[in-house]
Amino acid sequence: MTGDMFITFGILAVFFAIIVAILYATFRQDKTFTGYAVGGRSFKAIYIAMSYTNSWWPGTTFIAYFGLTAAFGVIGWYALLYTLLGVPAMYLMARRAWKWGQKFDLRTQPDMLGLRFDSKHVKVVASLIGVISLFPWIVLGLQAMGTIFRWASLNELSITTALIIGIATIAIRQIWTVQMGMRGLVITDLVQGFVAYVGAGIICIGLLVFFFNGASEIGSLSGEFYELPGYGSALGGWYFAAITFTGIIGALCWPTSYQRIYTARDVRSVKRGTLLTLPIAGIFYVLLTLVAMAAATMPAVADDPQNGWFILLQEAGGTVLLGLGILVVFAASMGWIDGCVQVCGTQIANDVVAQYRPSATWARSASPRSRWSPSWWRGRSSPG
Amino acid sequence: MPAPSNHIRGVTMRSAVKKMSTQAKNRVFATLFTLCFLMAVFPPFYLWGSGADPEILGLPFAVVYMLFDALLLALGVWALYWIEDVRGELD
Repeated sequence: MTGDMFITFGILAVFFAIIVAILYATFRQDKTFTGYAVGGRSFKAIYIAMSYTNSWWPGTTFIAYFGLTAAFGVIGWYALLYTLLGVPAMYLMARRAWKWGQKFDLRTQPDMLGLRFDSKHVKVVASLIGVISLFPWIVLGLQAMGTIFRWASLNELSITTALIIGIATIAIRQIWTVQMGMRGLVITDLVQGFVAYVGAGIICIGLLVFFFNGASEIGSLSGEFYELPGYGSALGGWYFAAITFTGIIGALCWPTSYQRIYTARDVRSVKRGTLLTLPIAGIFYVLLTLVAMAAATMPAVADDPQNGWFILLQEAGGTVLLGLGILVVFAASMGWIDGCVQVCGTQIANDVVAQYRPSATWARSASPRSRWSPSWWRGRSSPG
Repeated sequence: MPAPSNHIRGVTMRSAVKKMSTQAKNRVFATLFTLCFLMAVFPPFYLWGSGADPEILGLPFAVVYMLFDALLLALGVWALYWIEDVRGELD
């Protein structure tokens, strides 16, 4: 391992250790499945906002979305619009969704749908649709993990090896996700989100100011970068509408996003959370997309837009800046995949299995105990 | 006659917000959010916003269009929160 790799892998290792330490420091054994699934409905607005954002912008935002903008220009902004148009929907449904959630002990969106239509079949089908819909995104998330480790190895690792290490890292992380439930997830989302989105925002501002000397590069691309597909083009005039509208609909029923409503301590926290989500999610993506447009002027990025974020950072700031850039992608990826795993597990247990095995005690009772839980280790260390 | 102070303006604004009917409030924000939605999904709007010219503050027009839609939406949600806070409708 070279000295540069100590920097890149070292940054990731330290961050991973900090997250695990936070999980143990904040661990509280959940007495009920509601505590496990929605953190006991106890979180303030900033936790809701950062958790929503960490479950919305995955690590692949820096890869696929950055690449889309760097390769095709202004069409990449569609993600900003569908993201922000979905957030007001959360605001508008906050009161009813949260109050129903509290009154009827709802833990997931299919829970709510099953109650609304008085049908366990609606609940099961909605739950399966949610889990299946997440699957392609989980694959993208795992691919992002492979990219992270490939760049951390400065391209010494093969794609396959990097992917295996990335998947293994996430698998290890799930030990704590499964044990500690939503409470641990939301608390680590705060830290991961701050690193990923505020950290990335600071990096982007630095790049725009010091590397690109402002916004001039953004306007120096060829004309087609600023054109949306119109009538008569290969994609047609409705293409932008279709991809944006699909994203908005997705925002309304995205399992991880909806479940955040139930983690809030009250309606006001949900609403305030959406207020905070708008600038956190919005400003981050605006800055990233402006950087992607500016980076499109670099030949190396134009040749390989999906790796553009990493190419740019290595060019602009060497190994240290590359290491920080890998860290923000890692933080975004880890938080995002955790959220998916948690919601898939909760929905399968709560919405599917519990319908056909209502006597399953783990569906109602506390989170599973195992040798990996802090309480087991405390018991082991006590005398006698 | 001296101009009203900021405090009096603020009190006047809060009173106006409290007196606004729920229907009027809903109509205003439904219109605003619908406009933001249409700017994103109605082809005559977003194709009008497409292209580089004119540049505004050094940014291509298409980028400014997207930023404007996003900002309008965000400010709309913040305004709705403030109004609901004044009217005691947050919870």
